[in-house]
Amino acid sequence: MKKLSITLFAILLAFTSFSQNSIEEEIKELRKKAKLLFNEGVRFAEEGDYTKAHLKFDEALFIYPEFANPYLERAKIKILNQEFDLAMNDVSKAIELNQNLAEAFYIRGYMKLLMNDFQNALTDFTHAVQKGFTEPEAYYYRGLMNFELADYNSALIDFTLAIDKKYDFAYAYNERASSKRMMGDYHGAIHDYKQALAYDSTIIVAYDNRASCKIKTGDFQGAIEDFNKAIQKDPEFYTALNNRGSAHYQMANYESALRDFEKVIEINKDYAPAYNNLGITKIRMTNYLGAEKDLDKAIEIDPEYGEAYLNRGYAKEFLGKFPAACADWKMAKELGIEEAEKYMSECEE
Amino acid sequence: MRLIKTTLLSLFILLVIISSSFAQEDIKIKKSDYQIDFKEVGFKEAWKNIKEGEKLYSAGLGTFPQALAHYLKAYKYNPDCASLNYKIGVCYLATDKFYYAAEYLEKAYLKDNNIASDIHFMLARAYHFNLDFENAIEQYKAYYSSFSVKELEKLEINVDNYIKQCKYGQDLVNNPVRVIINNLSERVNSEYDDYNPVLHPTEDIMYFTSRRETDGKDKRYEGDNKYLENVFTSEQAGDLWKRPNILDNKLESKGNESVLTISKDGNKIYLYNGDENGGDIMVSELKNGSWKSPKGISNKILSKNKETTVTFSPEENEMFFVSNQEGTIGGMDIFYSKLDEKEKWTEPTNMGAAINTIYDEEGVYWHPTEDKLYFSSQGHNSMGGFDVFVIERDENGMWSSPVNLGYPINTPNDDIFFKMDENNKQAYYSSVRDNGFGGKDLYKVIFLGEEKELKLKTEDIFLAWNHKPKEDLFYKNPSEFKVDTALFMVGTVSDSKTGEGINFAKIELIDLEESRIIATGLTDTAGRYQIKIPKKKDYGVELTAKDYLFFVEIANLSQKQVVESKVTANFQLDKIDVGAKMILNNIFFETNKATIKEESTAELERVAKLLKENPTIRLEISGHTDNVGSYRANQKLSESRAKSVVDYLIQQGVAAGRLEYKGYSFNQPVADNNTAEGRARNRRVEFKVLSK
Repeated sequence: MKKLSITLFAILLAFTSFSQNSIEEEIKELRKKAKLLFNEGVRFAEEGDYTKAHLKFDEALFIYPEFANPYLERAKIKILNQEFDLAMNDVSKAIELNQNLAEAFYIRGYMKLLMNDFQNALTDFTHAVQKGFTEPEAYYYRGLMNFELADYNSALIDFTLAIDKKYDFAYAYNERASSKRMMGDYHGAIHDYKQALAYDSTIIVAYDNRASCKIKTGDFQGAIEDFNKAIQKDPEFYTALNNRGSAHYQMANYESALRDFEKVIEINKDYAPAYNNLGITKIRMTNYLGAEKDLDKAIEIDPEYGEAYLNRGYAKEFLGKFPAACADWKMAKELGIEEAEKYMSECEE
Repeated sequence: MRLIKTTLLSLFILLVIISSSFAQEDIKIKKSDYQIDFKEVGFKEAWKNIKEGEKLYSAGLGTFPQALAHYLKAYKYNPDCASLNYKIGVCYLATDKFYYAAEYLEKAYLKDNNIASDIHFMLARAYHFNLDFENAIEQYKAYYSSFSVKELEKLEINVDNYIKQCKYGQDLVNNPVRVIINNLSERVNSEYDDYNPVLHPTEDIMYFTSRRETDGKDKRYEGDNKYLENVFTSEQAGDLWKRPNILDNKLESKGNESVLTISKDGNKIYLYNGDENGGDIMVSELKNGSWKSPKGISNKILSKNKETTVTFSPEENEMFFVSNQEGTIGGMDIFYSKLDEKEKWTEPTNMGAAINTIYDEEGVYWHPTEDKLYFSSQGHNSMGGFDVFVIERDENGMWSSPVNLGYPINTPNDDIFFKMDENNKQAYYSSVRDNGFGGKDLYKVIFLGEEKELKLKTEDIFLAWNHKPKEDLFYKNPSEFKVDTALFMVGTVSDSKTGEGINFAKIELIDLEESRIIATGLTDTAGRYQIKIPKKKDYGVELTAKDYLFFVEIANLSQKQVVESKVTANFQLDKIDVGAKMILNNIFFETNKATIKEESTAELERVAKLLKENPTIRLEISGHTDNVGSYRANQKLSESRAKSVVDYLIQQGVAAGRLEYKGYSFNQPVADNNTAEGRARNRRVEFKVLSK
């Protein structure tokens, strides 16, 4: 009853000539008009003129506020404009008006994803799929949510469904590879990263990820080659640089590791892991004083960085600063680093 | 100058090695080699330094540092003189700045490969000291091979043992022990040799031996031209040791001397006296606050030979000492004695070949509370010079095999007189290290706990989505949810035998009118592909996949039905197996000739590529004809055509041995020779895989 009165109010405002015809006939006419406005909006959106599209959807909703689709399309435009709150209002309204509007669930799921509300996003993506929105992206995003919620097996299934729908879905290959990796299937992951790159060589994280998997399989040389490709494609890709330095460290190429970690710091002076890694590389090179300074910096940036405390304890031990080393191990223990408890047994006297 | 007849507590590695090498050749720096043509400026002063250096160098090890100072001044005038570089290198080898030696010796060798008969040995020593074991081994071998068999028999230097030391060194350096090694600082150490630290039981006084200059009237030892040994004491103040003083005159001998150990109650001090009987262990008792004159420890222990260090069990009823007396296995050995019922020392016994080696053992020290004996040895698995070892006595009184205390406690130089504290937390000893103040220095070793893990931090961006502008993946225009009008060619590429999809098969679509590739696709793990095509018409399709024969065909898409904007075309590929055959449909010859037409190039290049990508396979190229004409004429034509193909492939870089050719005339038709179309199909070239 309330909806009807709102509609009647809108009709009265829009059409002053309204008088003789029956209300039902007029409503039909207005709804037809609203759909035409909606279709105009769609055409503007297709042409990329989102401002005009938005206006048309507004007009359609003005004369037919119970029309779910304009809310949905308007929400999509608002997302593009980064007006997330308004977008959320629109898409929720669309779902309220039409529970079978599968795409609306998909869009709301996406909104929730952006808000890091992974559990509710997962629910919406599942509704979208169940209600018939079976675009590959729907499975892909549901896969992302499963991955974020650490359900790697479900994520793997979703990414596979996305790939089944779109065989060259490079991103889905990368994410499926990461799911396999989290489940310990490094060779399977390497294969999927390779597929991702075959379909889209601009996904540079796939090089970095594949390199990390190669390290797990003992192929350090292959890993370095992949890191090189990632860094070559994006010289500012500092996590890849940090990872390459780590590979060099594990291969005991400390000079090369040092150069990489220093380069990371040049790019991002607030990246605590690089200071931590630089510190332990210096420890390996028996430069304990230098190591202590780097680890000080890592802790200054991130006072909750348990590993850095553990490592600084190591440097301090070699500098003969035994009480300070013990204090660091104690802190590391408090921050959840299990090994620290064992080391503290040397501090008891 | 009259030299006193005395012996040192211990002879060290540098003395032995440098002396031996000197005995072989005396390199002199010649003026003609040193003076640079027409360069008079600075020569006079430089040559004066050379002469001074030569004099000090000839005097012996004790004045090598001074010789080096002169040589380095002379070096400024001519840094390229081979003999000067050689001498600087040798001088550095004899100091604690040994790590500079390699640079000069390398230069000397570079300037004159024959600069000295022992240049390879000196280079080997320099690399050995610098822990560059691989190069050291190479140089030791080069030195060894520079001698004839007869000369080798007389060679005093045991090159094989040095090589062994290098190999042990590689192991030890790769598995370092967790210690901190601190120099006792320049307050205690001097620019001369300082060694054999002995802590008083109260642990606040340290006795040590030094060959430093004391009052300007010091005498030098004839063996190495260094000052004689004297005992010094240093008192502890907090964590530091104070400046040392020379020991009470009453305990001093005229020649070399050293404090060896002090009884637990502090009332007996054991000393080494180099003046006595070839070198003896003496003991002095503290009475009424002053030390009595030292006396020989026991007639049973002492001999005409040399007895040096001594140590006692925690109960002081057992003793180890070092001597080269009768019964030695080689050089200085460790001997054992104990108190009998009459409180007399028993006849000493050699500790045996499991502990003593043909090389010297020295610096015995019994752990204050445990049944552990520390000593230094030039044998066992020493990485060079004296290394510190430990043995442990079990419940049955059996001593274990010696265990090297490891790097960095031990080095290729002399590491000796090791004294562990009762808690096994720290120790004092003497060593030659790169942070020293000259010669041997006293060091404190702090033992760290067990090996600890270092935590490396890596971070991956697992999800590609996290590394990309989000809307690219997300946003779809409303229209995109409607029917897509684009046309696709879809299908599968599978194995002709198993039917399984082939992953990563490459599909190239060729526009036959324009003779160019218009689209390329790859198959997925199930062998599926999808290629967007501009319009529905016939295309040339070329398929390639690893381990499969290539495939070229006309895809008759114009005849196919479009279902949901898709035209389906499936393909099968043959695996490269022995016996696999392939008809090369696109090789064309001039009529009745073996001349290959230009339009055949693409097909021939495909075959050449296949051979290059599969470097082990061998092919038979066969020619075939229709049945028009005589068998003989067709046989000749078919063979010539096959040979033309082989010749072409050889020109493309394929090894001739990988190809065979054969003409089959019309014996192997693949179609009916009664029709024009059949005859065209029979006129062909094939290949067959002979081996892979």
